[in-house]
Amino acid sequence: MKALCWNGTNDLRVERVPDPVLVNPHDVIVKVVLSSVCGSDLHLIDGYVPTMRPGDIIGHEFLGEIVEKGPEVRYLNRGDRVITVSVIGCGQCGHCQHGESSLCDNSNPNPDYARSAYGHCGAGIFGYSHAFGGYAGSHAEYIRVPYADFNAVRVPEGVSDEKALFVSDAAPTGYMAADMAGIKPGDVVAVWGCGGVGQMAMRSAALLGAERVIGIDRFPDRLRAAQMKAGAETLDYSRVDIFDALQAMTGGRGPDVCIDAVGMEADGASNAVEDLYDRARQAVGLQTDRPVVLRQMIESCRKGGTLSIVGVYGGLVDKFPMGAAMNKGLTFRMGQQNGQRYAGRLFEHIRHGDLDPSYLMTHRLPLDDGPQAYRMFKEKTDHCLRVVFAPQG
Amino acid sequence: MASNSLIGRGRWPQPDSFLSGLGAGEVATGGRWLAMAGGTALGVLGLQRSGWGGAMMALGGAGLFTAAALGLRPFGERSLGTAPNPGMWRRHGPATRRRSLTPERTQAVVTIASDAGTIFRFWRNVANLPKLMPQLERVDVLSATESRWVAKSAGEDLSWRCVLDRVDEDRLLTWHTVGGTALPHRASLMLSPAPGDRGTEVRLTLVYRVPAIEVAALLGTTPGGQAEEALRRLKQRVETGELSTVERQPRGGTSGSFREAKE
Repeated sequence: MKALCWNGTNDLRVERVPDPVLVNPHDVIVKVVLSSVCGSDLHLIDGYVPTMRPGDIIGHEFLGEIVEKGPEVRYLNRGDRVITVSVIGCGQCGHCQHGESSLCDNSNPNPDYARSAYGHCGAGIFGYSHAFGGYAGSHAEYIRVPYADFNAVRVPEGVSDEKALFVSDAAPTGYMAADMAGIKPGDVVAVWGCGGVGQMAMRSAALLGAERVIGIDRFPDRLRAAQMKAGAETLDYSRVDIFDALQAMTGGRGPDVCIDAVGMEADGASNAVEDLYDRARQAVGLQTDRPVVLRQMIESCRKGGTLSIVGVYGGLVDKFPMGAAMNKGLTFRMGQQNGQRYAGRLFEHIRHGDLDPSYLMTHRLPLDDGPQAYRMFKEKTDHCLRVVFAPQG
Repeated sequence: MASNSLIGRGRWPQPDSFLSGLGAGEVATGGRWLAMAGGTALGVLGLQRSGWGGAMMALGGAGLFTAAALGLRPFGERSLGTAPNPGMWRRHGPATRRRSLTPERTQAVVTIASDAGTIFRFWRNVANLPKLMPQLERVDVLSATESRWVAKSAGEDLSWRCVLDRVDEDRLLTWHTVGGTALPHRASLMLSPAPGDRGTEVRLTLVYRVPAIEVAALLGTTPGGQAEEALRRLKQRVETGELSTVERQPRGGTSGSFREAKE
């Protein structure tokens, strides 16, 4: 089959690889119909995730059709149209049973990397380096899905492929960001990053009762989409001081909830000195992640407010304002998405017309265009919000 | 899952006389101090003399002291400390002679979302153990309390006979090797309820009478690695009925002429 493979920093290639096979009794093989790029893929492509190996198939957000199933798969059948949650849970360990499947004890077959770096090992993720299990990704014609009854979710009748696709990752990640922040009616929620996840977080915050939602970015088309599609007010961080603007918009209190939908490669264009400092330290390995957004959130958030972090971080950050966080009594919530917990709820919102993530798909391309598509996505040209591959043509 | 390696004497009585005799470690320690003292004396004498002879004595003394401090045997073919070459140990004499006085003890612990009975029964059926310890070829049940464990070994046959000591249903299982074996050891599996209805805490303790490096040479993994891997697999088998894997999955970079560079 054809697959998009990582072969080094900024080196993606479309290659012929063997078809996947059923390995474990709870596996299914999914014929991939749609597979989306994701901002977190850029961390792999840019070489910030150290456990990638040449030949790894990337991609983790996908929809497809089950074409084979293992003998122990109970609830799914061949021909089912499913989305698959990008973060893999076993469905049986204590974490999975308590709705924390991204902390699954069992789904990462290479636990040593994460255990040495983090103390404990989290779940495996499709196409997201060997620290996260080394699973083959979805930018391919077929993919093996383990623990399928738990991770593959049947798409309800009447929900189109385009609307359902992002329930695989962007929608539950954004929804979880809003959900774990404990939003209450009347809250003001600021979201850093108006990409797919950020916009899903904005819409979810509104669904969960936020009175005002503020999206922060610098790309005009993304800010416009955040306004038009996600119902947010917007701030362009290249034009205004974010702290001052947020205080002005909230009566000097600061937002009740600050959501980070950016992660380790934050662009610090609003403060050139800080940006240069972070990039230099990252380049020489003194920090792995650029925490520009985290610093802004800690400074801007109201006293006693909540920071909810779903942008991906990998290692160490420098100049983390712990004093401000402590003395302002902030609450931190964070994590990879627990999509298995949210998929049903999100499909209900989609069916009722409260949520329509399909507009995130600005480009639909064949897999052959993978390398160019990622370049466009990274450089945010042609108003690109998300490229979605259609491996079956 | 967390684990720690505890070096020390075992807690249980030793049916096959682990603690009998003078261990090589004591001889090693005495000889080492002697060599260090001799090296110091030679060095001091050398420094008091002038000319090449004195310099050579000083150098020799320093070398002797350093070698002893590092645990090397300057005039012998074998190490004074831990075995640098386990194969060499194997060629020299029976297992009893190389048992150290202080057994190497490793413990790993994991919480399994299951009742103790299910976990206990899985382990108690020792024929299951090759599923948990990939170092094992098979385990043959000889009687209600005895079994023969056959390891996957590249060279000579490696096996040992195990006898169960204590079988405390759903709580504790202890066993030890009997007879001659290259890997004399004893072990225990302890089960206790995890707080908050989280299942069962499982502790696996392995106490080898040979250095970890020798275990690693023979089994391909250290005692710590063996214990952790066994519990990881036990948890997966009990909780999910399978072992997570990425074996046999497709990847690029190996497809030769089909490879199609796009950038």
